[in-house]
Amino acid sequence: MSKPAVIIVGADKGGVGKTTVTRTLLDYFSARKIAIRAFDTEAPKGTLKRFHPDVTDVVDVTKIPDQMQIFDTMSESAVTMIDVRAGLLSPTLNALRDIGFLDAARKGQITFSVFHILGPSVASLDEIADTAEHMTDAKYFLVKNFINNTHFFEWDQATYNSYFKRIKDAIEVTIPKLNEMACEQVELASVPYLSFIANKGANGEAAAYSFVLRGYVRHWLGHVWAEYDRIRLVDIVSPKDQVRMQASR
Amino acid sequence: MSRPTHVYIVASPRPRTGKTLLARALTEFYRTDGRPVGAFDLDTFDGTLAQFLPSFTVRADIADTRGQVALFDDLIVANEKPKVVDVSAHAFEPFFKVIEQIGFATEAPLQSVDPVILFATGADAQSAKAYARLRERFPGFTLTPVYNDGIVRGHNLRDDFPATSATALPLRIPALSPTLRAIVDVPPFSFSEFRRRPPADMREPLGGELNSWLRRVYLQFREMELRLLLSNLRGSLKTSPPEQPLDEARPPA
Repeated sequence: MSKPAVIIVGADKGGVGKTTVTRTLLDYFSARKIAIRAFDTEAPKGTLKRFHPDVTDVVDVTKIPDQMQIFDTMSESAVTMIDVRAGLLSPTLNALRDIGFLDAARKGQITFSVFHILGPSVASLDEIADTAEHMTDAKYFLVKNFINNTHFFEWDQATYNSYFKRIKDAIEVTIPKLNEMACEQVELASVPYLSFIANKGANGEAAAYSFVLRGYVRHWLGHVWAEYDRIRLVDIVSPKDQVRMQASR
Repeated sequence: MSRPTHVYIVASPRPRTGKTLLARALTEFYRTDGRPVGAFDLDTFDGTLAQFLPSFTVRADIADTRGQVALFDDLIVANEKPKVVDVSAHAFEPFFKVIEQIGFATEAPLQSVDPVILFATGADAQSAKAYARLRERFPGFTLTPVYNDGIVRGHNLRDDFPATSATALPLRIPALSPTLRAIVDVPPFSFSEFRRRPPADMREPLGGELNSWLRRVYLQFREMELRLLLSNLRGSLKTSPPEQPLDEARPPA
């Protein structure tokens, strides 16, 4: 059996673009033919499920039956992704510690990664300190998300560096801004970015999205994926799955 | 075989190089022949092309996403209808930047859309530099230098604007006399209307001069169109699969 990888995408603040980042990650892995499933913790509505209904289940990560649904079935996919609702990142990490998940990661039975989406306020830097204690055996990615034209104006670089350096091997990831109208149109279309670029509807049917907006999304997603290539994201997938992925290309 | 859709991009990084006169003449060349044609004016200040050809010119602001959608979503449609884009000097860099960002150069050949840049030359270093940059940035586009005698004024600029291929031979727009310019440069003067029904108040020598000017310019447009069609034909012959013998091509009855 290959080693499963679990990716948590979260932040303690809302509106920083967690689901956007999760969607780019799902597209990244699916384009590489890596088996993936996702859990949306925004019960009951589930924004992620709207875009990726085939691979997404809506769960309440604080409830034991839903925890069992996520963690007892990890080996079913190469990558399990959890889009954690605003405010639940720290409680989720505590729950993972309590169920022995972090121990399993320490023992090398699971590859565990966290994408921590940072907001523009200084409070966001405090979240790093809160999260850091759980990160000793995880890959920790600090994501600056510019998709909403965020200005990290409250950040003093020296302060940021002092937080950043507290976590050994933390890796910074930058998500560039996407043209606002293109962003809006993908939201309206409710399809994965890849489907929008390919001019396909939710069921694979031909769509009539704007050529210009599709071009902007393709250009932007190319930059996002270049970031994922830079941080060698596919390395979190087990070597067996990587071989399978290369064979399918 | 369907004909490619030609998209003529009339451009220069400098103002007052005769771009709009060229765009007007080219649009009206198709109109005179009774063929469908579309025109786009990227000049958000004066919109001169739109003043001359208001019924079929779309004004688009390249700095605004809605303007970009109005422009490029039409340019990428392969409907065999030629399109003329008048790129004003201030829109020059943003226009080509958007082309790069949205992948227009990659998508155009897949859609049988053939972009042709008609570069209005000038005797300044900025124009020569911009021309060289366009050659590097868009190797798949036909880049044609256009010399307007009224602008170039006897300068030999051929070395600054070398022809990029046999398809992209330079165009030369003869100078109009100042008296004639004073007439044709006032909206809503139309070349095709002039040919159909010359204005009664235009004196004969001027009418003769304009007819001669139009003949020379339209002849070059016609030759350019033929060169483009031949080039497209050669390209399609190169990429077509080899013909199969009849008995192999058809399944047995």
